[in-house]
Formats: sequence, structure tokens, C-alpha cells
Amino acid sequence: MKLLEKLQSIDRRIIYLILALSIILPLLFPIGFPVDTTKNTQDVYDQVNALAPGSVVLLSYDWDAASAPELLPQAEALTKHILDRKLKLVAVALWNQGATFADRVHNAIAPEVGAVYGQDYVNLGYRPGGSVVLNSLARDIHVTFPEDVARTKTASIPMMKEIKSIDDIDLVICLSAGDPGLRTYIEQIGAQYPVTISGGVTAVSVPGMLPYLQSGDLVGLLAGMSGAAQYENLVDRPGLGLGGMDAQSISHLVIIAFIIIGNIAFLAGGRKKK
Amino acid sequence: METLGIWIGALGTLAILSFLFRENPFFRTAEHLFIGLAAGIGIFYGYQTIVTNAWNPLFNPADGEVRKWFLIVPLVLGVLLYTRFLNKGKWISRIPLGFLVGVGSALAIRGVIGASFMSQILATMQLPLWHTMAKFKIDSILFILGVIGTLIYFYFSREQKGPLKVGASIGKWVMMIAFGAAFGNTVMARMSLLVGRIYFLLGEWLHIL
Repeated sequence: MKLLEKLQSIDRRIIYLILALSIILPLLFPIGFPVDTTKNTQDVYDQVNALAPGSVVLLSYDWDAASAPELLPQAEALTKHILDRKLKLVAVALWNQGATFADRVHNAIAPEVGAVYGQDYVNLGYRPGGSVVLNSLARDIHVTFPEDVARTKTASIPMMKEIKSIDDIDLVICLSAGDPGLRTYIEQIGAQYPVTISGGVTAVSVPGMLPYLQSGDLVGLLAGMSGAAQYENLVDRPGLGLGGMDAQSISHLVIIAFIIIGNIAFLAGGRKKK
Repeated sequence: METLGIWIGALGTLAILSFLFRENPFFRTAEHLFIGLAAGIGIFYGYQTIVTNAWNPLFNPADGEVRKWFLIVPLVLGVLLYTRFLNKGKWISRIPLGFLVGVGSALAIRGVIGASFMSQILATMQLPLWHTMAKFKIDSILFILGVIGTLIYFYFSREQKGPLKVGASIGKWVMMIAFGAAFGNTVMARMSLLVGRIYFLLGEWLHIL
């Protein structure tokens, strides 16, 4: 019983230390847990794969640094897939840090696949306004985003000459950490125009998005770091997603173990008092 | 320059995480730096947004572009928001505020009624009772029972006894399971953030990954 009492008053710093070790050790010595692809991830992959070369994908960066560990690997894997398939990629952002992350992803992926700015992909940057921006974008992209991030006029960018409104977009993928984000795209674009909406979100947001999958308003969903790991697996480009999955799995097991031990100690202590 | 950024990021991360041991001056310095930087970046983006979207097209158009005089309207409306700080002119700020609320509501209603209301109701109504939902790997009867139970839980026009009590009880359990799933996802997201920071420290900073 003494052990159970001790467990109830364990110093929180010991718990933090064990948790830190449960992340550091699998990162240093990877175990290689299998990563199974869920149907939702496969649906996103299939949507991109089904597009003919030259089709246009709008990728929206609606997140900030706080969500980068989950959404940055998603963005990198998606961008690799899109550019590898010779699709045209139009990046926009409804969050102010989004445009910076889009640049970072393009700088990492474009040289790998030999993509050229302005011909294969473009970063139109950030516009504030959420729903207002999307309504305007659907009607006229050139008016909504008159310049790209480097202040080049959108109309003068070669690939943008043929891409003027939502009618010219074949697939919308929104990577979202909140509002405005994927829900805004579903409500303002998906519900009004015949274009498929797909996306990736942080793990926190997943339950809120599941009803839209069930109703068919959303086709495919990448869920947090595990969604990124699955997509990295599909496009054969290991990154933070796959690298972090062992650490995440072990840390979850440690948390579950702590919850079980804590409850056993609590219940045993309660019975003793009675 | 990139190395300096990585060092600042790494030391900032360690300073913030040091709070887990105990409150200390490194944590407080990092905390104040973070708040100051966030405020600074916010002001910069706000300024840049006004310059790009209103000031430049109005007063400094690019070569070959005509001045967009109508942009004076949102610019003036934006300035009017600050009349809130005037004792006598406070009421003027209600004009742009009303405009913002009106446009916001119109857009929200337009989108929400279609995708988040009607579409959800129709999708549930169209589900065959005896059918497995491949996406969620559950029988649709469970899903429909859950929806009806949850609706009954929030039906307050009659005392919840008899069949209503059973329905409300099903609803309560379904919501508890949903909250549990949401909490589990939240834990997963927080662990992902920690994995991301440690990945950064071990990889980009210490180069041992």
C-alpha cells in the first residue's frame, strides 16, 4: 500500500522527465512502428492522383507556427505529390503566417521535383477577411490576390493567365488549424460551387470535421501528425510526420500507463479510507 | 543568419520548457519576449494589410493601374471604428461596426445553412438503417440512435421520464464518448507539438538526428 500512496504523491517533474524520455529515446533510436493508411488519408491521396497533369490545385495555408509540427509535414508531402504529378499549384493563406510557411515548403520541395515558380506553382500570399476573401476569390482570383508574395502582378504570372476564378480550380485542399479554415472553405466554396474540397487539420480539429466527411461536403482528411506520416508514406518522402510517429506512439503509451496507475492508486487509497 | 535563428529558437524553447521545473527568470524573459514579438508581428501585418489592400491601390497604384477611388469607403469606415475613444463621438463607431456585423452575418448564414445545417440533416436522413458506414466502421443504426438521443437530451419542453429519459441517457453517453474522443485528439495534438519541438532541438539545433 505504501507504493500506491507514493504513486499518488509522485512529483510532477518526474512525470515530465519520463514523458520527455519517451519522446527523445524513440527519436534517437527509431523503432519503426508500422503506419497504416486510413481511408480518409487515402481519399486525399486518390483525389490528387486522379487529376490529369496540368490540373489546378488550390492549397490554402490556414495555420501558424503553433501548429507547424502537425501541418508543415502535411504541406510538404502534399506539395511533393502535387508537383510530382505535374499539377499546377496555387498557394494562398487566410492566416498571416501561412504565406511564409508556403514559401518554406516551396523552397524545400520545388528543387527536389524540378518545379519552376510561376509555371508550376505560385504563392499568392495572405489576405485578411476569411469568408469575404473566399467569396471574392471564387469570383475573381486576380482581384482578390492582385499580387503574389514577391509583389509580382498576378495577371503577369504565366500559369495564372488561365486561372481566374474557382471554375478554373480542380481541387481545393485546405490545411487548417482553426477559423478561418477548412470549415470556411466548405461553407463558402464547397456549398456554393461544384469543386471538391479536401483538407488536413490538427488532431484537435478532427472530431469537428468528421460530420462533413459523412455528409460528403469534405472528401478526405489528413488528421494531425499521423495523417502527415501516412501521406509521407504514400508519397515515399519520410519527414517529421514519419520521424515523429514512434515518439508519439510511445508517449501515448506512457500517458495511458500513468492514467491507469493513477486511477489504481486513487481507487485503492479511497477504499482504504472507507 | 539562419544559424542565429535556430539558436534563438532553441534557447527560447528551453527557456519556456524550464517552467516545468519551476518559475524562473529565463522563462519570464522568454515569455515577455514572446508576447512583445507577437504584438509587434501583429502590428506589422495590420499595417502591411492596410498598405497593400487600401493605401497602395488608392494613393500609390502600380504602373498601368488606375486609382481605385472606392477604397476610400472602407478606409474611412476603418478610421471611424476609433471614434469609440471619443466621449461625444462614440456613437459614430456603430456605423462601421454595424456594417461588419451585417456582412459577417450574411456570409455566415449563406454558408452555414447549406453545409453545416441542411447538408448534415439530409446526410443523416438518407442513411439506410441497416448499413455499415465504411468511413467510420460502425453500423448506421448506432449513428442514428446517437443523433436522436443527443437531440432528446436537449429537449426541455417536457419532463424527461419514460422513453424520453432513455433517449436522453443514450444522448448523454454518446456525448461523453464524443468528448472523450475530442480530449484524446487534444492530447495527441499537444504531444505532436512537443515531438515537433524536441525534433527541432535534436535535429536542427544539435544535429544528432
